[in-house]
Amino acid sequence: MEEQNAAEEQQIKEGIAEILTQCEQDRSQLIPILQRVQETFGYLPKSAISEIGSFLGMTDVQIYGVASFYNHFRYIPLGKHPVQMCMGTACHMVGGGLVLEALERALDVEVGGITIDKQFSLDRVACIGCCGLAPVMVIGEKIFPKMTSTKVDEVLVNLKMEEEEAAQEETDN
Amino acid sequence: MEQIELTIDDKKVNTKAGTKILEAALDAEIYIPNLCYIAEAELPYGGCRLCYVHVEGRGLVTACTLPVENGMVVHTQTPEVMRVRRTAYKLLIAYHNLDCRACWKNKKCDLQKLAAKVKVKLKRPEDFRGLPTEFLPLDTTNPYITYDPLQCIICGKCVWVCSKICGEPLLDFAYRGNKTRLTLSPDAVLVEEKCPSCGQCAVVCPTAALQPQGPLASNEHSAEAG
Repeated sequence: MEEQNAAEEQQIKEGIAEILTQCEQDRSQLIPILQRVQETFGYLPKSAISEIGSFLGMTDVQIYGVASFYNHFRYIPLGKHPVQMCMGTACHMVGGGLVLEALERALDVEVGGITIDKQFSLDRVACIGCCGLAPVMVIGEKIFPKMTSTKVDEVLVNLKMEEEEAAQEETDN
Repeated sequence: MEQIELTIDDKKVNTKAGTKILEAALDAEIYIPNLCYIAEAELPYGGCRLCYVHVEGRGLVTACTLPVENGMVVHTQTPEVMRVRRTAYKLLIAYHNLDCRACWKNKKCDLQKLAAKVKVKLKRPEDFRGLPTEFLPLDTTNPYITYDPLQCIICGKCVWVCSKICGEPLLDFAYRGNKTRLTLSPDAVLVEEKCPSCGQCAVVCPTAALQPQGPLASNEHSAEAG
């Protein structure tokens, strides 16, 4: 596990170095740089914040201050299956909150968090745009319409089984 | 330097060009309430909105941001000015924990002292709505200073003093709207390494938001005793 983490760190470091070589060394470039880092890694790693800081001559807190102003940036990675629960008006009215609670219980993770095995991250989003199907949950790119709290376990178990099957096939081949 | 003459509350005041109204008034011993004003700062922060004055021909302006002009006529005590200041003050304490008697900064707090000047009573509990504490938790990442966002009025004095003293600011605002708070640091370890723990941020803090801890707290006590 530690080796894996070290390898990840290394990968992040190299990735950031590459992004920074393509960027102008100017404070006005901070947000574009943050956006590119998030595009590449899906989040802003801690090491990225200090790397960008030394590149632009800013301190960590200043960068954190700018980044935290925007909801767009996140500081923990997305899971392999990012779970998004819609909390728009329509989904909220038909019990989206209950589904979200059920998800928190089933995954044992809080909103905005990631499970220990890094398989699932849970987020609440505003509207996904298909209010007719409310309450809507999205995992990866798949949409799960008309969710209820009882359906949550079913969906998650199916997803895990599918994955196991895929892994089995891979080893068979 | 060009000299400028203006009138503040029927008093003729002579000052240098480029001076802000607030500075000119304070020099002429005319008090205008203020909490975020720093005389040495290059740019006024203008965050507390307590220094509203009425300038004839212009209406209500913040005295800390507007430079003086020749022949300017400033009123600092009109009913309208007082009303706006009172509103500004109430906004500052909208989420403030008003349990002043239990507060460690009781009677040393600039915010508390100002209440009488803007004629707001601090005792009414209905003035305190209070955010849930998990919403703005106490920051104890720095061993020398703790930060309580519920006491903070986001005046920016500590941010300014930190950037002046360290040269490399270790304090800044994060988030936005009513969730705005100071970050002592997103990473606690860095603070211990870099922060000279001079405690100046707590010294300039007009409220009880930044509280010295450990050695800093005992220094303060000995200074008081001496």
